[in-house]
Amino acid sequence: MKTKKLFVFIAAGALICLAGCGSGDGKRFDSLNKMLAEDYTKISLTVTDTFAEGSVLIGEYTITQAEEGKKIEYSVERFGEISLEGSNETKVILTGTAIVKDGEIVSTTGDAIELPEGIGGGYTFASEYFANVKFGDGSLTADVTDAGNFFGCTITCTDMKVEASFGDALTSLNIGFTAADGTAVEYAYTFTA
Amino acid sequence: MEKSMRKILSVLLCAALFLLGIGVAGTASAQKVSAATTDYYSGITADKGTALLGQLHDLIVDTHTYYSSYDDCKTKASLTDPSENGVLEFYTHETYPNNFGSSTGVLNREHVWPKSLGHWETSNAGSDLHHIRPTEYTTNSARGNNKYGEISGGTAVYSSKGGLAGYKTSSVYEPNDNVKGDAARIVMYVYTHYNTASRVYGTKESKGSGALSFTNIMSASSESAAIELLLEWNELDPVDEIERTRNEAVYKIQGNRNPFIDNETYAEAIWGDGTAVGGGGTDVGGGGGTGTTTPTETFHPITEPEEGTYYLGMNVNGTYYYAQDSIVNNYYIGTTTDINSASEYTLTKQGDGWIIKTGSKYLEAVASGTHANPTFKTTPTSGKTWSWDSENQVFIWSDGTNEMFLGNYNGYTNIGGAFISYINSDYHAQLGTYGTGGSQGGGTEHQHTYQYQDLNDTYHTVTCSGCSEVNRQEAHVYTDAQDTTCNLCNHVRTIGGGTQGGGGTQGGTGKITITLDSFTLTDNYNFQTWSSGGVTGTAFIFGGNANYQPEQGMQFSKVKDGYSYYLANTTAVPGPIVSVKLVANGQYSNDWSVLTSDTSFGQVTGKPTGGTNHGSKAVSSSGETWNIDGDDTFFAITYDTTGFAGYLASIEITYATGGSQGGGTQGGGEVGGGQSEAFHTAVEGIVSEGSLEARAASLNEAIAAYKTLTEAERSAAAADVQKLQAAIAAYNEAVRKFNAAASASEGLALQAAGSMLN
Repeated sequence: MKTKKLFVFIAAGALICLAGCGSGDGKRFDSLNKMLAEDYTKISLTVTDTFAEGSVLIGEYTITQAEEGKKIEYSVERFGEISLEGSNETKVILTGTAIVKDGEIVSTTGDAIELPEGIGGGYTFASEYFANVKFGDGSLTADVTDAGNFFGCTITCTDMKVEASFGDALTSLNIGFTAADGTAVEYAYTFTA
Repeated sequence: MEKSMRKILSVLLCAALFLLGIGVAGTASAQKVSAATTDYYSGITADKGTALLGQLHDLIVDTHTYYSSYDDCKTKASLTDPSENGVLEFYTHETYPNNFGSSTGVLNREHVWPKSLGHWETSNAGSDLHHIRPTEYTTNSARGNNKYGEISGGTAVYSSKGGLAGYKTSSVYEPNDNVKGDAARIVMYVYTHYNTASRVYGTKESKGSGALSFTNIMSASSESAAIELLLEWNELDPVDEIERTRNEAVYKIQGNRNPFIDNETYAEAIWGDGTAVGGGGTDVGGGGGTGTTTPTETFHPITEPEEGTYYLGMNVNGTYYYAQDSIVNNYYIGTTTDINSASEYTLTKQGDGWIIKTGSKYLEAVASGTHANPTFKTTPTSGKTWSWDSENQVFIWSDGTNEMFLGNYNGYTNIGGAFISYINSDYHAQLGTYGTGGSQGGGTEHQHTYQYQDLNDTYHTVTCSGCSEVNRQEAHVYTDAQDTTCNLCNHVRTIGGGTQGGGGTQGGTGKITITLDSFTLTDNYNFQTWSSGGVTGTAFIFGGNANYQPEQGMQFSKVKDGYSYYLANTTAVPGPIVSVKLVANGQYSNDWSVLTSDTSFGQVTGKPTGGTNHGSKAVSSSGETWNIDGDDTFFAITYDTTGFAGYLASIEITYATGGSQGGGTQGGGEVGGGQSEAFHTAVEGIVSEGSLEARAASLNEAIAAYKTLTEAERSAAAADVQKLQAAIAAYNEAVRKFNAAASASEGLALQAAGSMLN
């Protein structure tokens, strides 16, 4: 599939607010928010979707700084459709590149995938968004009770948990949750300063 | 392998390894008490009996600070049951990927003490991590909600990876010897924690508590026998590192521990002295109200009648019970208190028949709907006696219209059972004697008299006409590759070389299978839409709510006005329907009817009429088949039992393909009118549910076979081609759905990373 098309992705859904807001360490959360705003030379993102019937799809994204903006290089798995006459691969790998400037995708090359319409929002750490917060030496684990505000966009999910590791800057951020259709979703970010 | 031999070998192996000083993973450690748990048990002052039981109950309830959710049983599996590259499966100790779902090769959350045998759903006991274990889907389905017990013979259960997971009969499951102790200690934990406090001599009521007896979960003749079996398993399979590691992991999550893992002597100390049986409650044995009412001696049913004195035994799923007040563990022997297993019955020959009396009353039978009730006459019916059928080991009473049976006879209406309206081979009342030693009629060792009944294209069932110990499935036996008739059950098979028949035989078949996964469900009872094998239909079933458990299968009910209680297709089956097979879910059987027609039954209130009614049958979890003649391509399954919901695990519709049924198209070395055998087999093997990978593999196999066909062969195989195309369309629809979900998920991750991208 080598067409050059940009699909519009619309995220919609009701927010499920999980009960309970735990208390946290305000200064530590502020520090994490500052780390999120830092410029990293590279951010790697791996998204793993484990569907309820057992199949798995993995998408990998690498975000780096480019002259024209942020460059997102992607290599994502998708299931292939089957036909009586076709070659019928169960999974195909779609690869390509998108350039983001001021939160907007301004150009794409490679295999077409659905990319979000506008990239805004952003993670925000705040004690009122979490429960069971545990800060260690360079680590954080917590249950996310307000996923929408944590994500900065609407999301429908349950059982969201977050793990972060950091020093002077973030090194990793892992988020796991169950989507409304029962899919187990994992986001794994790694940061290179 | 016989049960006793398996046990002997297991004990010898463990002993040998111990003597050699070999530390084998999963075998016993000489240490009985974990030193690391001393603090946790520091408040336990009792050393045995009810006092110890009560203190342990209070401790594990008090320290249970986090009640795990049912979702935790999945998401925490990597913590509770870690294994290299995956999760450790309970019954086989194989490793599976950390994926939970409802298809072969993925994991399920196994209630070691099934929900239907307890008082929980998926919370409290039903989601306790000490209780719920990851189990491979195939194995979980095989175990179902069978009680645990020991089996002679039985059917081996294998996981999707081919590992032996245990043995089973229709009602009992026996795990492997190296898992028996694990299972026993889980059962003891659940009993101790979630029993009513008074029954376990505790002072604190647990969340979600209720009355529990060991006989609810263990196949045993009495509570004492159940305890004896648990203690035996606890000893046979001591605590191993898997259990200790798991106990620690769950402790960190929930705050409480399983004391029977930490201290193997607790079980014997509590129950070995016999003082802690039954507890302080009054509803032992599931509400019978009369205490434990099962015989302590072995019951020997009559195999050949002789004049003399006998007792009545009620065979329920292979276990004999007797009781007072006509109630046997909630199964009524009769509707009158006159019938009583404690009473003596005399058997007297009269002519060619037999008179059966209890006291001054004559035992006869009266037909009642689909079953029979015992009746007692002060004056016997003139000219009538019971006849004895020695082949089927059953007394027969005829009223001129109906024949009613008293005996251990599969497949026919049995006397008694007024509580349950059924035609069921698992419940029998029979005369016999109680005692040790050999069977009635000479004191000789019982020799099984095997009987074989055709089950399906691959298996027949094997039972013994003289006892209930044998109940298994075996593959058909043929003399050679050309033999078409099974040597044991007379099942007739089709050989794809065109040698069967000489006209009038079926030219190939296709099959669709309907399960709950075939549905697109909406909440509560409604007409729900299903799709399978390119055929669509409707059914008035329960679509779910917050407490719905899909493992229950398709749920039908007729308790409310305005309800409907049937399933039907709205698009035609690709060929004339040949057979319909229903498989029930759960331990109960209910009555179902099958109708067929050449037009759709549509949506009606109640159940459809019209078409051809092929009769009502009782369906259990072993399945029941209706064989259909004619050219009908529409069917309806109606639920006939009133009073409670009925559950179906699957519906299989077999239809003719290629030549018409009975048209004699086979016999020229080709199957079904010229269709390639390989293509037909591949289409039959298409997987329509489960992981996309498995579905794709089966579709590609069928496509590869399709590509080898000539145009003429493709035309001749039009029905199979249509079936393949429908399966491809369904698969591609699923592909688009999953791809869209992945795109949405990835897009969300990118959106949320916005601040990192500016």
